[in-house]
Amino acid sequence: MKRSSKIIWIIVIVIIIAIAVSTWIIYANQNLKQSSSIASIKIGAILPLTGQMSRYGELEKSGLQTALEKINNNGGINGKKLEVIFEDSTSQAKGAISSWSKILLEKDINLIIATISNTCQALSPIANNDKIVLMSSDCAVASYSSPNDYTFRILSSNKKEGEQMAELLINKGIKTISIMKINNDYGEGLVKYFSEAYENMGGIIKNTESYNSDEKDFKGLLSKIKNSSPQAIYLISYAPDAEIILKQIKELNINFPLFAAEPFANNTLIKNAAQYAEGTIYLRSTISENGKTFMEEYKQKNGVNPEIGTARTYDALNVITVALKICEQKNNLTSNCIKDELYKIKDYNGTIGKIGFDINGDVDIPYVVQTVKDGQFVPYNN
Amino acid sequence: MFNQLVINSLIAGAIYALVASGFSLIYSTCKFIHFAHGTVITIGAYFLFLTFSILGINFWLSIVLTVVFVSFFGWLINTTIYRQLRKRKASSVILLFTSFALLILFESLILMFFGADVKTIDFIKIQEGIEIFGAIITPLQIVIIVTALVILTLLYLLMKKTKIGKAMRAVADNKDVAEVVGISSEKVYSWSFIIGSAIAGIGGILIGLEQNLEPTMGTALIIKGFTGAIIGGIGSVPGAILGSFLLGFAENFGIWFLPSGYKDAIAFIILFIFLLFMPHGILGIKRK
Repeated sequence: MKRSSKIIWIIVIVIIIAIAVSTWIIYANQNLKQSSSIASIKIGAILPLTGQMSRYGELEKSGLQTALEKINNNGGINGKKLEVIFEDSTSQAKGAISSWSKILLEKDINLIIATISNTCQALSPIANNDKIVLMSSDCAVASYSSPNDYTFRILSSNKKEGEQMAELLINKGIKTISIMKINNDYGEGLVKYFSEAYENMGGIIKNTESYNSDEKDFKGLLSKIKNSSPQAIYLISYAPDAEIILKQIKELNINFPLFAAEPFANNTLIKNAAQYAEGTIYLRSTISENGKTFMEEYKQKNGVNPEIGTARTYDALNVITVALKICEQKNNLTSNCIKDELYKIKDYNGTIGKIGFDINGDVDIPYVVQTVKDGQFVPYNN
Repeated sequence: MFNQLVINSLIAGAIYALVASGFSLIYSTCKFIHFAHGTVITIGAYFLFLTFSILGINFWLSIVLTVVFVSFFGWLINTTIYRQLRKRKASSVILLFTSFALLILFESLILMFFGADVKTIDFIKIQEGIEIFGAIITPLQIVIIVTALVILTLLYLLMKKTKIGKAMRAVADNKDVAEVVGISSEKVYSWSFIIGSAIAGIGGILIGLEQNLEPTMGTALIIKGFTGAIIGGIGSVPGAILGSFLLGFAENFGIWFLPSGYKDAIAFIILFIFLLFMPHGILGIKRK
């Protein structure tokens, strides 16, 4: 009995393996046929589709899909279809790196789009090493890019945000501040540039409290801030953390004015925590006049207004298309050609404003001051 | 300020205790580390989200349903997975790995059904806390602390006064001897999972209300709960609760003096100190 059941098991396993292998062979063949029959150009996209940043990932994916559909409806890349291979970074650097390797298993990948500072930052040296163009729609860490390398982004670096925030605070007469920040590349970078600028202008930083990304209890840090009695709090957090921090600020009856960094501007935050966010002042890039048609089209199709993350990936893919078209025409679809052509783009009319890459592959998109009023993100007027 | 730190520590400690007590109860009888207990808590929080926020069932009924469902779920895990493994003479290391696998599996399932984004259960309107001795605390946080203490008392009474509690202690002490006198260890294991998971359900409800819901919240919780249980003495339920409060105090007072980024480091340094110098914890039973 035992022997016979063993044999049955072996047969079952052999059958399963046989089915799996044959399915794989058929599938691989089909893919091969497809890719040879329809000429297409593939690029990769590494987004935080799960994990803590997933709410940003969904917005970004939607921007890419909207742009992709439009590009392909308008003839693709000189008649060739553009394809985007989506991979999930799980909101973590290590997830982004394995997604990177996975995308590169595909043939002829010359360009990958990635979002969220901590993942882009990890991918930046790999991109230069592999000589693959890396386009980020929202990597703010200043050290992400260097002159003439393979990294590009369409968000101003956080050096600009830090300096602008310092100026805003000083202009408002706020001379002492406490910082609450997430412990990652983005938080570290922004605090560094902000502190330099703020202290140069005569501001005093009472304390800088950092927390790790899985933290849920901020009461200890907030009590510390409360005790140091600053004139205001500068919150450098992603929206999911910011929601909890705002609630705990309210619970602890802390009444200092709140200032926040760019990731704060997220519609889900308003949905979940509008009443505690009221009055918070923050810097963000916004959809410009150029983006009006995009906004209307997007709203018509999806029923909601696009968020800034959506607009940025939409622009990222459109800018890339400009370079891809030129390289395709030259019959030189290589990462070097794409890189060179991207550096040549100086005044592309994007939805977020004029996109032009400097020697670092960076853009100069202004940050505007906004606030939360009656549960809405609105421009801030002194 | 000192009072605020004490209150903050009590709240943190009570949350860890809600995790650690059920976990420790299961460990004490079953003698293996059930890491998936973390996701059982997550399942509790999401079940409340499903019944209350999505289906719109009355809040109090939702709470009852959640506790019943989660204890059933714990029983189900034990019956369908752990018991089958024990039948195959699986060692506690195998069970430990299985519990890790279950932790990841359930997290993925929650992710699949509910999506990755943070969810909130909007039952309690956030308001300014009440001031007690110059420290601020919200009513929900008081409920959390009181619940943790009530669970401690109830568990103590259960273990000392009831038949099943005595059977649990017998199995925890020596399974073979307990079986000789006619106690079914499998039955005791089932009860441990039912009671332990019911506590996880209550924990899930309170933690879900206090913090937001994320599919991966269980991992962070079980790490802290596990640390609390080790400090207090693994296998001792009162010890686990005591250890959790101690951990809450150490973390909150620690970050007062140290840079705040070291909060988790404080927890693990204490864990190492206890593992090295007091592996039986504060109330753990020393075995020769």
